[in-house]
Amino acid sequence: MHLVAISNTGPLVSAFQCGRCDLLRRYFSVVYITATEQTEIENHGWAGELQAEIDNGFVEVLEELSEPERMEAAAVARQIAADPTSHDPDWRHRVPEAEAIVLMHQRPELMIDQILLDEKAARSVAKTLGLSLTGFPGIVGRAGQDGLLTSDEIRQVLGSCQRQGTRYSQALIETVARTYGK
Amino acid sequence: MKTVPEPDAELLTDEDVLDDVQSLSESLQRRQAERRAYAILNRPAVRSMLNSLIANGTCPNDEVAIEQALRMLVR
Repeated sequence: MHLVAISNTGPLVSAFQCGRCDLLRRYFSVVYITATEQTEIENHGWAGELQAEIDNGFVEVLEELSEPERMEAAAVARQIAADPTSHDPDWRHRVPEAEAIVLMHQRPELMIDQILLDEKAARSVAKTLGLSLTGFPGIVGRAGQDGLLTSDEIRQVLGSCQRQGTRYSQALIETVARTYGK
Repeated sequence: MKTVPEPDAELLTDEDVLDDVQSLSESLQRRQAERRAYAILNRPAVRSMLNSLIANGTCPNDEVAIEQALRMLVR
């Protein structure tokens, strides 16, 4: 059973960090990203990993946003920047995740089931819009529930992301491992 | 040099992850239900019954026909 997702930068980078894109493939047939996100992922040094997933058809870069979509994305980016959990007041830094939120909303023909977001402020705005969302630890948790990962493997996967700079707390990793690991 | 986006981002909580697993599970269940419904509606015998109910005016569409049939079954 496979879903269609649109992803922000964070969950894809996490999958690249631990080398476990297979966990995304287990639940998603395709992951859409915007051109802005593609640039952001490349700027963070993950161009090779991203290109490999584009080449094998798992990640698809969506065509440029229309002007109305761009304007709506700017409004959503302002909402994200103004969220109490946001530590960055500059809305322009929030455009990639805002674009993903807008496209899930505005392009029903893509039949997107889930938006992948790890960042609290963007998640908060997506929830107010009623979007179905999950983050990379949620995907890892579900994989544990399905018997694909043991508790120790969950610790290894999320720990690997943590060691490379992703903000997963030790307590969170332990909760996911204990709750969903077999 | 490989870096991460928003290195100072607010941490996800335990509750966030529990909600995420639930949300992912619900989407998977919904997609599974859609596939089952599609498979059932595509069976020739089922399709034929639905088409005739709509053609003879008994029901205006698939949804009403299915709902009425279920109501009759659970009476």
